[in-house]
Amino acid sequence: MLTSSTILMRFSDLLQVVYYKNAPHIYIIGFFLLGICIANKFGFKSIVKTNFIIVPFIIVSGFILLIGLRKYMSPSGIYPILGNNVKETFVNGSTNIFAFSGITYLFFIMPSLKNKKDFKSIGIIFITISIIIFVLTILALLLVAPFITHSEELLSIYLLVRLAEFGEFLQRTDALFIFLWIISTLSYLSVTIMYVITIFRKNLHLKDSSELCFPLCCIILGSPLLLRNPTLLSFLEEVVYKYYVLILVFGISLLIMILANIKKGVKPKWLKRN
Amino acid sequence: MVKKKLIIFLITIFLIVAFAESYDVKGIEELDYVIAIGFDKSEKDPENYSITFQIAKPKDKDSGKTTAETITIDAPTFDTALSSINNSNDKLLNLTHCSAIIISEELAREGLESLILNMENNVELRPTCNLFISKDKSESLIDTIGKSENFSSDIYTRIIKSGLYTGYETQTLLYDFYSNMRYSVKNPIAIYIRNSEKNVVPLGLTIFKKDKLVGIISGTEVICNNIITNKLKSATILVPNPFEDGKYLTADITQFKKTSNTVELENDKPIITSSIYLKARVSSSQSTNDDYTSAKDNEKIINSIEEYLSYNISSYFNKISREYNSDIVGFEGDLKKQYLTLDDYKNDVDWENIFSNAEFKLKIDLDLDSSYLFQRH
Repeated sequence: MLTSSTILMRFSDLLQVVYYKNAPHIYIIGFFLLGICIANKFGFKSIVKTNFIIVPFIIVSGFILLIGLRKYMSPSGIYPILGNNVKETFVNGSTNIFAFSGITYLFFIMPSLKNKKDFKSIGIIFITISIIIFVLTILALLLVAPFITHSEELLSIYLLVRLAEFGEFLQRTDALFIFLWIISTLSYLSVTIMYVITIFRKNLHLKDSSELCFPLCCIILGSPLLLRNPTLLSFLEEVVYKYYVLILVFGISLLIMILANIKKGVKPKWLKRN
Repeated sequence: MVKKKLIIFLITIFLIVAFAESYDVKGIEELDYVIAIGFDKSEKDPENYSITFQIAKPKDKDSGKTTAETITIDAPTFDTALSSINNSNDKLLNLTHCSAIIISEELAREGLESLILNMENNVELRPTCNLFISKDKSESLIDTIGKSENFSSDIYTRIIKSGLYTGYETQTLLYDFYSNMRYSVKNPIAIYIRNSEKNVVPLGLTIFKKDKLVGIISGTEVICNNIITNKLKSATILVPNPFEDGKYLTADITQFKKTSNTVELENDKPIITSSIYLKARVSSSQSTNDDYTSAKDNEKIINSIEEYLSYNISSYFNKISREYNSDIVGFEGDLKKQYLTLDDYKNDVDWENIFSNAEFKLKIDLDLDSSYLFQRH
């Protein structure tokens, strides 16, 4: 819920800066929440099928963006290859693994699967898609806009999209990319709320949880309005969210796996042979 | 039942949105489209800018041509100027179609960092806007362009495009200037223009060190810059005719392979080797007995073109390194590739101080494709 609020806040800020300078912020957030409520009313299967259509578009848009920016690419942006120094890249930079926070959703996906054996392949596909999208966007940013390492942008990739050109006929395609991002944000937020509703339903043993999306959306509506301070928002994103993901998603899940294996009495293969 | 309710709800929302007053949509009749912005130093207050906006007006009924209106205002910042004009103008200024930013040389020599940062931060102003440095006041230059017979909303794009194929110009965008100014691998450049009676004349390129103008290169030096930075589409050069003293021949050159630059450090001195790959075709000659079917004669022509290019590219290198000490090519980027970390690079190399002592080596690989329609006269 916290991440949904911060993401919604950032993206609605971008929309307000680019397109809706005079519109109240709450209207832009309300548009997304309306979409979430409608999506959750249609149910789990509709959200999953919609995601199935949207995700390939996002991957393809990453490649298209690289093609559109080929004129501005300079390989000097990625050198030196190890960044400032080894410690900063590998030790301090290891915390950047929080970018894979989407792994959290894998923990909740198991009950929804028809065939439990598919879980492994789903996990691999998920991580592969995440890696592809990250590599494409980070490559585009470093090759075209190496100055981002020294500055703070509202949405770095929007700077690139403003430059993308596809010949003389297709120019100023940033509106298309923003349209795709709006749909993907709606999709992501719908999935998040769907999982929160599922958790509440199971914990509280509710028969019908379809109305739960309204109070949850109200919480999401209220959170961005509380987070109007950009310093607080940056603190939440860069400190709270980062260490929350590292500890809860990677740390505790790894600990649970180790403890579960100990309880089950699973011995490593080299010990079994001896 | 739920789906029916949802559909009714969606239709209600659609009707509300369709008939409600819009917060932000503005029609064309409410907007004035700015096609060029000029910056000069204010004569009344040197701390302020004198900012000129050139607005494209709808086609004149009598002549059927697009006309231009110019508004000049003194203001401490770009956004203050916009706000003041919007206050007094009956229409809102819209910058989404601005294709040129013209800054006077006087202002460029003092530094453009805050100006460029503010313009890059503007959402309406496209980062692909062309950047020019004007020898004269940008206000007079914009006025001259506005009164020219060929004026149209894309005149600035046409000024550049026509020069790209001669090799005497290179496109310089607002985004490139901002990126080069902020990220230290190469220094920014901008097209240098001046006002003539009825037209605008490109004079070459201005060289910056970070955000301050330090020098100008023109003519053949711009062609050399385009060859080294892989921006050459084609160029026409005048070289001495190897068969007759005092006579010349013109050759059209294009790049058939990208220029490769390597940088090595020897005792804190950069040794920069540039390998360029060009194709040439003789387009005209002052002599009438040229024979391009003879291998011996072709070799003489190749040597003449290579000597000419070698001399001019070496003089270009000397200018940017010894005279201006401004790496506008990005040789520093080629050196950085040899280091694994930035800390190692900074401990070894102080590029700003050593670039002026750089030694340049040039390798030219030139293919002569003889002439056009006649191989021998």
